[in-house]
Amino acid sequence: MNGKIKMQLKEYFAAPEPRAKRRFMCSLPAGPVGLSDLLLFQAAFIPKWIWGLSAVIFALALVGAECLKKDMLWCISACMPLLALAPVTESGRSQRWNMAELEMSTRFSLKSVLLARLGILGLADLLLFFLLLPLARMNGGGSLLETGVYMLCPYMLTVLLGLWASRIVHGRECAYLCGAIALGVALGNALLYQTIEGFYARHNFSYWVPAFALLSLGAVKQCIETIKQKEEPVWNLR
Amino acid sequence: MELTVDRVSKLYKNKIAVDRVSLRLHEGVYGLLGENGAGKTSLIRMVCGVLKPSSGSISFDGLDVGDEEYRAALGYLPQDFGYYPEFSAQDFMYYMASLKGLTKPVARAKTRELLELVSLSDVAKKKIRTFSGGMKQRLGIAQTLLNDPKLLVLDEPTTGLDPKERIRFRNLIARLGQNRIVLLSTHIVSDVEHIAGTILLMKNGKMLHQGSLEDITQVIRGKVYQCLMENNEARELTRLYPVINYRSQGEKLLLRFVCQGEPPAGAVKVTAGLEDLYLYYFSESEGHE
Repeated sequence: MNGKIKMQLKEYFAAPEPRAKRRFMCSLPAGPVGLSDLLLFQAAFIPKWIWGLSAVIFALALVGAECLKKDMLWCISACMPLLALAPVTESGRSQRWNMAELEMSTRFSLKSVLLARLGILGLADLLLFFLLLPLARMNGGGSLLETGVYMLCPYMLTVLLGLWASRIVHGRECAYLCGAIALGVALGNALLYQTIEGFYARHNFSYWVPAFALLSLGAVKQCIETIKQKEEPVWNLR
Repeated sequence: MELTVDRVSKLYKNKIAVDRVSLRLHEGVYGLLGENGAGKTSLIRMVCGVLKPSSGSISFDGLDVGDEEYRAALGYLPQDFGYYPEFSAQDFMYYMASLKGLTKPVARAKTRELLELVSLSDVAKKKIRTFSGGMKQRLGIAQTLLNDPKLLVLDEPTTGLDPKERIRFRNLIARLGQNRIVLLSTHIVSDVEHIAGTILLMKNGKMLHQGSLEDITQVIRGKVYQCLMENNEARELTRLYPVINYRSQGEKLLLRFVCQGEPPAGAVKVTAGLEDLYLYYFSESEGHE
């Protein structure tokens, strides 16, 4: 049926008012809802400050590198721990707000929820990393690989320490502790750049590579431990 | 429809919270009664897959408690639950609906219907942090019904509700129990007495009794007495028998007590209720057997 006939039909015949629509909607079966739907839905429930912080860091890097023509590597590296703060705090959010018990008893259990949240935030951070990488390199002398490693080291260190802390300390204290860790790593990174000559020099890069590898391994291990901690019910002794 | 709890135990370090509990539950309302620390919440958490048992197994219609399908059939209200600070009642319902695997149109329709059921429609868009304890509890009850659960587990559902609301929810729970399994844990004996078809009495992690009100009050039937006496006589009686209730009547005290043998002079036999049984069992620790 073409659009013209549809329009004419609409004009001549008014659609009847729906009857018992709500009852009908309620009688519809629940599924099937897949993991992709869960991902989309969870993205909507990620706190706004996380997206805001990412936008601010990107804007800062853009203005510094593009408009002011400054070497922004040290500044962007110092901001990376703040980006890492988002997935770290999200991992303990359910416990902090006493939602874990409810989330563990639903069809998509707490483990799926956590994986979805960490996946979304990880992807968002990865995207931002690729956007920041050329800006960090723009007015400095390093290669893309070197710049990437300099940026990721403080990020991985924050993830490692933050996830470790969130498995040991719970509730509001955990959020404060993770915030302090991120701030500490960020300030430490900036301070080391200011005090150590040749902090980002090519001859020192050989120290950065093993540090990056170790920190990445540690961060992955902490991620696995955190998810394991949330997967209580795979059990029944038969 | 059958929930099977097979020799389930839970140990916390050196304390046994639940000791080899076995149950077979079918459609109907089951009231789980017991004092604080009896193991009710531990048992309920294990039934909901939140807590890992030290031994034993739990299944619903052949589905293991760890299965996604098991959780899809479950509605759970924990004793103490929270919410994300930015959530309104509607956001909370949508969020829970998403975790229960409901599509958006169904979630919207169900949320509207259930918020109406618990009289929260007019505050659907208000932040939960502005709600009173009773309103939060009503919201908690509403979220349990989002997925039309076949197994409904409610831990202290009427806590914080005013008497009118409590009776309304009691009736709602009784109605829900007609075509599903409802496991209700509470301290409020009258709630269980009114709506539970089967009563489960727990003490020190063990299932003491399970059966209808008639069945389980059998233990003290014909053994509950009431008598009016002076204060000093009452003190003496308290030492001899488990006293269920005291009430001042002028200068004297009206005592309700359980007596296995010959009752004291002036005592009148009264009908035993669930509260009598509850107090009889849970006052034993104070020195009576």
